[in-house]
Amino acid sequence: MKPGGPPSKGSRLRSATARQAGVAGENVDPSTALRTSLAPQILDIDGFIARVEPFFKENGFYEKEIARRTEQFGNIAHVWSIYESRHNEDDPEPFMRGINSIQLFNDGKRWWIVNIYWQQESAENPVPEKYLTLN
Amino acid sequence: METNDTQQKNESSPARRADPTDVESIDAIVTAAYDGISGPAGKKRDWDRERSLYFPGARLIPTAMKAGGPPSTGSRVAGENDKIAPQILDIDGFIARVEPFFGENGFYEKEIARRVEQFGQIAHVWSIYESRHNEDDPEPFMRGINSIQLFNDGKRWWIVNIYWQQESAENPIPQRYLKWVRPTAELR
Repeated sequence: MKPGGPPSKGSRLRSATARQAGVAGENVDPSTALRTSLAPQILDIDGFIARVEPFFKENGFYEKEIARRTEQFGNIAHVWSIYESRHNEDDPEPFMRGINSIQLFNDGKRWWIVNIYWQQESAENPVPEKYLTLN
Repeated sequence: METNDTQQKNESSPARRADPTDVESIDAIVTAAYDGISGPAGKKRDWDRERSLYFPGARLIPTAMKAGGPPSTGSRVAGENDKIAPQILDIDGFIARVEPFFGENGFYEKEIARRVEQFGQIAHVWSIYESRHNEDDPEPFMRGINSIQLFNDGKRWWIVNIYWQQESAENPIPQRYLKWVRPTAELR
């Protein structure tokens, strides 16, 4: 979704779930989006905040990790993190799922997030079963 | 298409169209990325080929060695920082960093093992590499791990991000990562 693009149901849903908008189509419903219309949107933390704030103001949003695969070496780590998103914390079903690829750095004292790259699940691209049973 | 818009906005040097055989699979693009930086001392690399692998705005993030640690082997971790920290570069920043070293030293980097995760159009490759000054050196002078994020636009693969660290005496590569793990099913 392009910032400032015409509002549509699809773009609204994506700003709604903007943390999952790492790979977002342009004004296309994610469930029917052609793969060729999607592209990574490279944001910094402030760009991300600007993207999600309007939605968070009007909508409940709870994102929870449900499974994870971690690789670690030296000061670096990668987490393949499967998430579910809900409008209310106790909604029985999530309205969205997806996967975050998270690169981490440990400076000897603490962990830092270096990069988060993600995509939402769609009818065309369901989260593979093998990732739902990690850890 | 958005990709083209972004390309025009973000790309400082015009990117050559990728060789389709470099970007047709995860295996192909990872192999091309290693191949493109490898060569004898003083040989000018085909940087346009390397650029053609990267999504506009892609980041290359080495973690720099501590001063007083093992001598810098040039390549991608030639930092003079007094502590370890990620260096966030774009492709041109990366090229500027490695060119002086490549001018004077042979450098061959080869992947020796890999773990791949894939979902939808995104993929992550945890890629273990060895570096040699000569292609036929029996032992590498360095090893390390690249964390590579990839994107498939439906037609080709792109590198979105490479984040890496070299091996050191304190941080040897865990034995479990030296076993090659193929993806269960690659997207095209």
